[in-house]
Amino acid sequence: MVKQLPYTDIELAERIRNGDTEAFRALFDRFIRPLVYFGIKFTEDQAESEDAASEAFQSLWQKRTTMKGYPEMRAYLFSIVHNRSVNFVKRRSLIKASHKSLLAQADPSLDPSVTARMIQAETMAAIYKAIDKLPSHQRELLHRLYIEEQSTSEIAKTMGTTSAHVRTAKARALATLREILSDEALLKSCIIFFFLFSEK
Amino acid sequence: MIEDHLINILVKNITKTPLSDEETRQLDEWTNASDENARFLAQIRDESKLAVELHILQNIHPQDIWNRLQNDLLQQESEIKPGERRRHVIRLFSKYAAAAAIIVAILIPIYRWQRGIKPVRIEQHDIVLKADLPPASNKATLTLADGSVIALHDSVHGVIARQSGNTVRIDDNGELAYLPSGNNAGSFTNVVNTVRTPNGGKMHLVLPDQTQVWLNAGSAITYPVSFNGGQRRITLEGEAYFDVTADPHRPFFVQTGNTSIAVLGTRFNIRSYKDDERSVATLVSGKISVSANGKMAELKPIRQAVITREGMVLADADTTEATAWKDGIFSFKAETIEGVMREVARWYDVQIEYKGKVDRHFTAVISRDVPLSKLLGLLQKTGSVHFTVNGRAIIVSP
Repeated sequence: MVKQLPYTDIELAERIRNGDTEAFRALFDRFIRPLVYFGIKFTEDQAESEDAASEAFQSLWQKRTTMKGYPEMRAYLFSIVHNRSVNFVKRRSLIKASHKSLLAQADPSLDPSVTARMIQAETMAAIYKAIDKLPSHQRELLHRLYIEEQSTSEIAKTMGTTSAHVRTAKARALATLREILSDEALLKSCIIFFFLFSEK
Repeated sequence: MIEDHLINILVKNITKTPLSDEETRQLDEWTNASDENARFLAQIRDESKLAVELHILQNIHPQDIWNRLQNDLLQQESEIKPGERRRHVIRLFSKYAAAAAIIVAILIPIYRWQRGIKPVRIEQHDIVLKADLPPASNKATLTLADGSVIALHDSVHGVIARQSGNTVRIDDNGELAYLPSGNNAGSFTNVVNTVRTPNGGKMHLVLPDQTQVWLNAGSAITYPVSFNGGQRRITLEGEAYFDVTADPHRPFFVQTGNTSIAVLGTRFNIRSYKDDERSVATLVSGKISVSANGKMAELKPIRQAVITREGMVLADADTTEATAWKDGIFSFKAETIEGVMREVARWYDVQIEYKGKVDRHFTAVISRDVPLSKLLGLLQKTGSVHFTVNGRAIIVSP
């Protein structure tokens, strides 16, 4: 499986610092899902998280010349979303007088649970993106299995085939998925949990 | 924290290669390092829990967020101090400027609407016309393959033509229908007909495959007389609402201006008048894919694609607003007077002239089945606009 990465991390950051909007778009495409997902896990509010993510990118763009490199950009994006999410939850919990409130850290990048959540968000988004890259019949199958939560026998019925055949097709789709994920540069910087793909 | 060899351990686990004791130890160590790690591991191992997370991701639409981001950045640009930096930034986003401007145009009206601008309540009208003009009626022309033109209106009924194995009829309620007759001998897929509604006209027709089409005023649709080929191809000018019969073996295509729409058993509205600045395709149910200006997008209900010269932008749709015309209603949401009067011109077959600038935006829901004087009276009641009518010409002033 040949995958072409248009930009390396270093290239991407450098281009953005120099004001390249295509590179900025590429950064956006890489991080928008993890960032919004990350926000949603805190706030449970999609609209708020989308706004927070958008704000993070806008702010990064405006400060682009001060950014030193790719890791800093990544951390910056997540910290903006994190700060905004924490404030949102605090305000909401004050209004709702609910017991769900997060303690804000002075420096979120030092908080291990936030870092772990960043990784989780990127991992989840990577899995999602990888599913998108499958050939359409395999993607369709995994979509039905995981997102629509159909059972093997249900799928077999609608496809007019046997459960055994569906299981074989699933194994093949997962194998392709593993290949895709192992090509992702993301793998080198975060942990992908392949236990997902172990057959029961 | 994050180590490459841990990844190798995990990869081994996929391939069901047994982990060595050392590797198992490292994995356990990582899992035990924090509650977060352990919880995450458990979550991903559980397929149904993973499905929940993937659902969340699926509902995130990057392109929409990008469009809003562009819009915000563009607004901020106007606050940047003049000089080289500003020029640089403007140039960068100028290719998105048109799309952003469209978004602004959509967002501002919606924003105002949500602020609770009530429709204008009207009791009486001040406009008295010598010969009041009626609203649009079922009026159209049908141009057959051989070039002959048949006028269609309420007093024409029954079979009006036969061609290519189809019978063309008009029902009592003015519906034009193509019915396969007898043995479907026709294979003339390149035989086309055109139904055209003038200003002041409208028509409901049923195509050979039972697809229903409602045509608004000033519109035209061209279609093959029998859908025997592999595709069903239609050309549209103006506005129409489609209820397409599902047929996966024969995809349905609509071409309008520079926009092409692929359809799969679906209800949708297309608005593409030559004198409007933009075309809008609104999906009510089913699925369509829209191509324009080198861009392609797949719509889900209830979304719309707004196409301008520069590009295509997706947005959420208010389908009742987009399809109100089909149900006999004018639905204006924070519309400019020019936009309102273009609709009036098509529906009543009148000409519009402007003397002075009317600034107000109009929000109103009015029946289309009213004579012109009543409609103008309603609008005039807002106090923001005045009309003078001379025959078929309307002069609009503040």
